[in-house]
Amino acid sequence: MATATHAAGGNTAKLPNKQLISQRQRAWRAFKRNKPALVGAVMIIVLLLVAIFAPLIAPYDPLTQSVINKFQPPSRAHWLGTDDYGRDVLSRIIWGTRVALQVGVLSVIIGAVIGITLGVTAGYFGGKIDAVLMRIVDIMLSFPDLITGLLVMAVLGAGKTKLILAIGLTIAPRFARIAYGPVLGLKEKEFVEAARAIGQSTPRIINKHILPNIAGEMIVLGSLWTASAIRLEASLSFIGLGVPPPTATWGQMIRDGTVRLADLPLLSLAPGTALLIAVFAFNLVGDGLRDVLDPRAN
Amino acid sequence: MFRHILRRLLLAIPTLWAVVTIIFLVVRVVPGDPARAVLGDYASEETIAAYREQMGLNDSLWVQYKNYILGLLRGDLGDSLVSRTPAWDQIKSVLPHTLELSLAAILIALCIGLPLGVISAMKRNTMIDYTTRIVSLIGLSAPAFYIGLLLMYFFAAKLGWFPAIGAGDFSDPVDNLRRLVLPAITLGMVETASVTRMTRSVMLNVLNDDYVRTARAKGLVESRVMRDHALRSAMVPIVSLVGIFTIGLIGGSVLTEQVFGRPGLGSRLVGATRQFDYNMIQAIMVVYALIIVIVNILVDLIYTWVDPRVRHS
Amino acid sequence: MPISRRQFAQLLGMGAVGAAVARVPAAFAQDAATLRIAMNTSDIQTLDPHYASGSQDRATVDMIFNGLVRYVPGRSDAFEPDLAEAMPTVTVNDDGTQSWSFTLKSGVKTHGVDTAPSADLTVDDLLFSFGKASNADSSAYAGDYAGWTFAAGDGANEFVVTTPTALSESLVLPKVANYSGGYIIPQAAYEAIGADGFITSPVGTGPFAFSAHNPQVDVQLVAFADYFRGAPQLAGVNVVFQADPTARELALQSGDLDVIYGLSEAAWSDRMDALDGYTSDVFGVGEQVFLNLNVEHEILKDAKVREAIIKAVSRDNHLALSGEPVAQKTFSVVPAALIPGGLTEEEAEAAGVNYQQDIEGAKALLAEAGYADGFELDLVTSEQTAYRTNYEVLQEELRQVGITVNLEVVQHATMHELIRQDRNPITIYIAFRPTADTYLTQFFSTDGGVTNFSKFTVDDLRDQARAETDTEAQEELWRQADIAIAQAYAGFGIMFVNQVFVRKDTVEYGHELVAVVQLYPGIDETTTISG
Repeated sequence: MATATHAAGGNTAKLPNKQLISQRQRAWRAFKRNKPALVGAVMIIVLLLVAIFAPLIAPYDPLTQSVINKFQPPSRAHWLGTDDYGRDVLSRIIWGTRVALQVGVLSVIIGAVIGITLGVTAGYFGGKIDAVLMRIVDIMLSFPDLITGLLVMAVLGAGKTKLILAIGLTIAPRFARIAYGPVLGLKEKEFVEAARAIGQSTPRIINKHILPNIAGEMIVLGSLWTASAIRLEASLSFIGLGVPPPTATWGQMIRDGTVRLADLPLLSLAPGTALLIAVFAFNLVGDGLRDVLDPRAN
Repeated sequence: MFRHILRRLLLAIPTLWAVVTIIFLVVRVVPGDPARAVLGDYASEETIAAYREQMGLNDSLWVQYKNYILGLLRGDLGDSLVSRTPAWDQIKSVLPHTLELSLAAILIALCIGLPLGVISAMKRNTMIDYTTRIVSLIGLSAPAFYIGLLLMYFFAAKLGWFPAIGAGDFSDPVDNLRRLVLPAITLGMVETASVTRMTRSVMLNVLNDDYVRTARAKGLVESRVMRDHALRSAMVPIVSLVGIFTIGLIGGSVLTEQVFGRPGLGSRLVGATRQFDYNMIQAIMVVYALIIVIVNILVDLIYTWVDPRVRHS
Repeated sequence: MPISRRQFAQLLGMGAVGAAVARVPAAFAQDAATLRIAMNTSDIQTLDPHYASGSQDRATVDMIFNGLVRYVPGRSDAFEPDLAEAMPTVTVNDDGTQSWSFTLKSGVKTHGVDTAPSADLTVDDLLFSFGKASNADSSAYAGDYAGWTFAAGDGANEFVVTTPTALSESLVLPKVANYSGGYIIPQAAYEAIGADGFITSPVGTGPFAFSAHNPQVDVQLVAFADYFRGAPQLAGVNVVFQADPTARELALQSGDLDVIYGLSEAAWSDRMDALDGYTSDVFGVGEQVFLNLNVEHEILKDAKVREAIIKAVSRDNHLALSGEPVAQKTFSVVPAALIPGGLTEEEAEAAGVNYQQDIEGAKALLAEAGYADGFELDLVTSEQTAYRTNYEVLQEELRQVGITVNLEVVQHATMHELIRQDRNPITIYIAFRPTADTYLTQFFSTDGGVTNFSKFTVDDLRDQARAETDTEAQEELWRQADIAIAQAYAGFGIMFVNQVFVRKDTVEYGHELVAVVQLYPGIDETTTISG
């Protein structure tokens, strides 16, 4: 979002390069001052590193089973014990970082691109376009998260890419609805009317005056939904429609672990904690970005 | 105003038609056979064929679609393929439970989330703000089924304060409420976190808005600034949010209903999906779509009310 | 739950608020002596016993209906008279058919409903019920009765079942017992309620009568005071639906339930058993877990490949998923420990078909077959734990020998649909079938049709066994069929998995639990809750 806005602004407005740079620098400085956001960013970088170097960090192959040695308690050999197939829980959590990041980030990007396009277009143009587009959004919204996921995956078949697509489609109408409301008010505002009066093109008005004004909301929503997307993976796993086995995913691990909630709580708590950390990090960064990007906050 | 509502209702008809048609096609694309789901893996192909014939599943897609739409126009949602009783009868019996649960969860979310969000925004970057944000993040991160099972573990199995499963009759309000507490908290917790965060974000936005700054600059008392200007402006996005949450909750209740063994629209839908009960899936989706149309109309009406700048063309 | 609270609420006038939603007579619904048993499902499919196949349905109809004979309570290998006064007398007719003659007990009452009051069960009802059970338009088990005829006998209350050929008792009794098509449906009630209505409001002759069905919550049964063996000791039974195992476990401990369907896992069962006030019962019948290898599949058509696959499998791995004694190994596709006609370990060893895991051997075989670098297989599995876990273990076993399995998890009914379209070159099937004949017919004969997953058939041996009335000779023929299947690497028995149910110590089923074909502990007029 941020780069898109700036790039577009830079191209069409022929802003002096110096000003663009200083704008970025200002944003970076503001971000650096935001302690929680920095902490979040560091956490995400750590998660990224864990995901990239999973094969090196994980003490065991996450797939190797030893069913006879299942449900082992934590030990020096297996810090977090073994799961229902005797696989090393720690190694599976480490590998699960990959899937969590992929699902969380990619599905939100897909959802945001589709959703914001729908919402802004409908809100800005109004009339028939509004009627038709928001009808589409209403239709998409009438499918509850899980059901959209369930139906899309049932039709396409299971798989990580399909899961990402399914979650993205679930998120899109939410972005559209949230973007739509403010746009209705924004397009009536003086600065937008002024821009229209001096003959600025519609894409330029949307890029320069509409998008920056809803960017904050969208990024907060994006951070929220990155969290929700990772959680939705867990929910789909709960009803048996997550990423196919044997891939290690936190959602599947939590689901399988809850069966032993009463006697082996670590089995679900450990991946649950990993989930918590990831969600936490994305939210901190989302909040920080919001502060930085909000033109009025500076 | 009345004409506006009427217009929205008329506009909803194509929406409903599209939902109905999409669902009609989607459920039939999914590989799986309602006859197999009902009759089990022991049934012979001969039995399966006989069942399909009886249920009209062998008719052409077009004939099935025509019959279905004609039924809908008469107000007939069709019969469940599994129980062979009218789908509406089942929906009628589970809907109050879903509405009750959603309403309780929204109340919890609004009663806790709104004030927390406002306070958090006003006391930005203080301990109160940080604590609120961290707690709401924890609420956001835990999957509903996990929260539900943890609550059940402590408050039902260990402490015995509340029943673990079941919904309770409406004829026994005390029992009904006792059985509502844990599921409502489960569902409400996630939503509280969302409401808190969004309220905080919206409030921050509004507090930075020109006219609030102006009001402050004019030396108005802070509490008056909040009441007359900030809160009112914040209402627009919050109303929109509550609309989405209502819709989300009615669907999001699926997992909560399943974990706590509560009857409800969501769990009925998952059940119907598993059984490939096409008619039941379609009927529930129609009811969902209707609820959503109504909620959206309400949200737009409240928009117009709180923000006079919004004019419907 | 205290009734007083309900009455109190009604006094306040609150009762009217939910009157439209209340469906159950209060007196029965919350009685202290009502047994609440939770099943692993989210709802019933059908309570028409001639269609019932899910374990929740089988359990429920078993409490509502009777057969001419019944499995001795708690056992799967012995029969005793139920609605019949005595075990049937058998005559072989001149035309080669065989007649089984039953005498119906007099004074057996049917449950009453508004449209069809309680009445004495008659031979006409038997004729009607078997007529329905043997018709594909009104029964899922019609195939079991192909060629069978039913008639009233000459004597009073006499009923005669005629089979097209002479059959052994072990093939006939299960079909006239309290199982599947053998359940007796009273004609008047069925016709008054209608075929559709019967799915959710059945009427029978059993110890408990149907009272209410709350979709996705429970089925409520009430004691039938006129039950022919005497009035039940329980006031009723609530069959509660809860698909989540943790929620079931917690609801048992919170006192919301008396009996729960447990996890098929020995360690879990032991832990529940060790809890104060609870008893975990592990009992049959086990569900047989076995592999079907498609001998016509483009890669698996090479017997070396199938041999390699079977040698990649270790029964110990799969067994460890449940652990003994919940699961026990089987050595042929027909489980010897459950029913006659299977191979014991010694018999399999003697026949040279007790294949053991041999990773290196499997790799060598694959190399010989031209797959030194392995190959990929796409398999689908049901989301249900029993299937998913066994497929996941198989996936890892095959990975060890270089075969990559892409596993897709689908809904249970979808899996059953897809495997019948030959989607899986290797099909894991998990099922109990009452006779060796049923296993062989359904999975390894031309008659099996779409469930002949392996495309390998033993029609001749199966037919010879079916025609054999000498029990020992018959079992020997079945064992030969088992060996033929194993030698062709077309089928491989892994284990059977028992039922695990946990009950409060105060619950006594009224019989010893060894094995129950209806896949629940068996609840009847002798079952009690004390205290």
